[in-house]
Amino acid sequence: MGSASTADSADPSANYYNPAALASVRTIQLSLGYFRADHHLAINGQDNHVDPVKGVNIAMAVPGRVLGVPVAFGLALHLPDDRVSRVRALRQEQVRWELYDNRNQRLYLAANVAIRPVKWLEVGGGVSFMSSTTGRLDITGQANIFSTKDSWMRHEVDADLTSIRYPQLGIRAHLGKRARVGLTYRGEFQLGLDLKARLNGNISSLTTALYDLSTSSVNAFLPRQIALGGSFDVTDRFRANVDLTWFNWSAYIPPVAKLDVVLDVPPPFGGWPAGITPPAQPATTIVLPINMSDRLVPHLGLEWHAIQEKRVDLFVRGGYEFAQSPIPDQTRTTNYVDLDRHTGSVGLGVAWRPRTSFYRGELKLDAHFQWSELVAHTVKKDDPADFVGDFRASGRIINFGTTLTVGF
Amino acid sequence: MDKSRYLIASLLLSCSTLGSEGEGDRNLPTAGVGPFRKLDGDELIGVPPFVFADSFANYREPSVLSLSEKDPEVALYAVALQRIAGSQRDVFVRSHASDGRSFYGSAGDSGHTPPIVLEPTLPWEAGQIASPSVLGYKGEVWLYYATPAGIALATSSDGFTFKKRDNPIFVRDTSVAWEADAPHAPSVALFPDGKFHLFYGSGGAIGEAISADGVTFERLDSDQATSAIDPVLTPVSDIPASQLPTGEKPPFDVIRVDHPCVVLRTTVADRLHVRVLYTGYRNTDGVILSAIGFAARYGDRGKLVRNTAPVFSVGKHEEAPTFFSWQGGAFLYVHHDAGQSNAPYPAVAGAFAPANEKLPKPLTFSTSP
Repeated sequence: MGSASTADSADPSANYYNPAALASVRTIQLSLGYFRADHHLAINGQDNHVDPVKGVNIAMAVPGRVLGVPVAFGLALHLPDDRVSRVRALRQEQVRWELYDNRNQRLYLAANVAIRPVKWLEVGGGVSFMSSTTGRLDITGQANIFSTKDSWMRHEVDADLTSIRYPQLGIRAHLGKRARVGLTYRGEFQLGLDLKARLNGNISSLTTALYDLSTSSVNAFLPRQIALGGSFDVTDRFRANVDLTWFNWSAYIPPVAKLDVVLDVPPPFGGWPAGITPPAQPATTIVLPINMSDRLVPHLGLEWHAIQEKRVDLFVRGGYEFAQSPIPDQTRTTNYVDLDRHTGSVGLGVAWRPRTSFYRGELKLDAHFQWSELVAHTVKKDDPADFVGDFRASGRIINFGTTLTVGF
Repeated sequence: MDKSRYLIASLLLSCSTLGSEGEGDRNLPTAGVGPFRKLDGDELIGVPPFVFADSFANYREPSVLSLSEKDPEVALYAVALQRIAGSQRDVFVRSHASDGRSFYGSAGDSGHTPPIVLEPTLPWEAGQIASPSVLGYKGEVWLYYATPAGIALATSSDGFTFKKRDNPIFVRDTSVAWEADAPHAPSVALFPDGKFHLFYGSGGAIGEAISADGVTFERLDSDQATSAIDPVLTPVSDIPASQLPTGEKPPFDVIRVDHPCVVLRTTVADRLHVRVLYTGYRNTDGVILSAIGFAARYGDRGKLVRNTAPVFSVGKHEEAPTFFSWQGGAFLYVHHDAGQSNAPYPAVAGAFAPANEKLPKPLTFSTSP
């Protein structure tokens, strides 16, 4: 449906699109799904082998009543099947697909509650959790340049996978039987990567070496979003959804490590021998601003209720969205690559209501296929002595997935 | 029961697999000129990072001619020291490598001696030839070189037997203020419009001249705003250590720029990219240090813009860069100090870019020069 679901969710997917819509769920629903998005992103015609995003989605929606008021509780989990979290710290000059390379490979968990205080209004909200990383590397040792077998080194790695939280809120109003409008707010999150490395050594009892490095960077950033959506039943069998999502990309923090280094290698007694130059203190990184722009992303979704029988329903869906890149032309030192993106999607949904002795709920199986075409663009560098030079970026992303939802 | 076992075994097996190593940084774009890294020991047959070395012949001032777009097969021309009966002089020799690294006649390739392809024979050469620079043109090899009288040219149909021009083709113009000495260290490229562009060193700067036939050159003015003929690259002003930010290194090219090596390309934006590697020199506490720099421009005229960081710097008096690129990367060759620190001799060292990629094992030494 082209992600145009802010006003049109009635299942566990509301945990993401609009938590308020959980309040419209009538039965307990559990869903299990898998999706995979393969990146075919190329620069100068050569694929950069950007990792796919793939994993298992698990979600649930549990409706109930409190003091006669309909309420619901929802949980959603995305579990990557390759790694729980991936962190990278790159130089800002390094070419990278900034919005695809590393940001999406995260464990995601959301918990929401929703309430329907009056028949036409639903309100919901919750908290999302994302994985974050902090780490420490300690190296202690002795280097004996006269007897290498007497050299030793001990290193200790200590890394923590922690969580950070951000809020999400939603509201949905039913305008008669055929129309709904919704509004969703998702908070900003920053995944920090803090690493400390300490090397403390003795060089043949001639001198000592201390290298103390601290880096701090934002390894992934998702901006605040506000999505406004409408859903209209054009006929009994045909539904049209429209969403407009605002992304606060201008708050984006470049994923460049801020270095703090202490390097102390005192000269040995009598000074440095001829031909040996002690290492110099590394230069401080001057982080250049990325200057991203806020963006409005339109989404359009259509659903045709193709088969409507007592036990079985069949839905055929289609969608489209256009996302203009928030990253400006990388004509100077930095090389954050991104492109405008057209996305088309198709989907099928089957709902089956068996009436057997052991199960009388509803089973839904949804599948989607999505093709994103990135608009090829050539970047012309201002500086002819730039080590990267002009480049042309292009690509596509192919995404497919399926979800089984069991209603009780 | 058996099915259950298979199911449990499959689940355990799938749970015990590891995630793949993250990627996303393959085939990244590059201007093709580094930064370069030294060749490692397992990338060479001989002593790293030297690809063409001989403590007797003192190979230096290399120039390469690419023989294949797909493979790193090159012919290499270099200055060699010829010692005959107590006297010595410089001559040019030729070698060849199919992998860009295992050059015919280098140290370790016993039984092979690179053939001499040019020696000083003409009166105006005064027994001195230097800085060979080769250009493939219409099936021939054009060899530009430096003499005390200026820049000279010899041509060959086979790359081994050269016929010299009777006179130097490009000499000092005393009306050009910055040309304090005879033009030397030539590097010639054939531009898309069919014109030859000569880059040369003189007076501590790098100048440019143009020719329709590769023989008769006319100086180009890189700055039309002044009435004089300006060089395309000059040394930069030094920055006092007290004014440098912590950890920043001072400019490497403050007293002289020399030994240009020009290679063209057309970028994906359809722009002519004139890329020049050069040697930059600085004086630090009375010690002359050198490093290899990169300067470039878009278009066929104008000043070169330098990158503030050197593309190759090892602190061993590296000079006279030459480079070529093929599908797998780019090789840089320079000469720098080899041997013991108390008795160094020059040898041709190799470097490679992209610096984060590893080369396959070297081939055996080439069997022909």
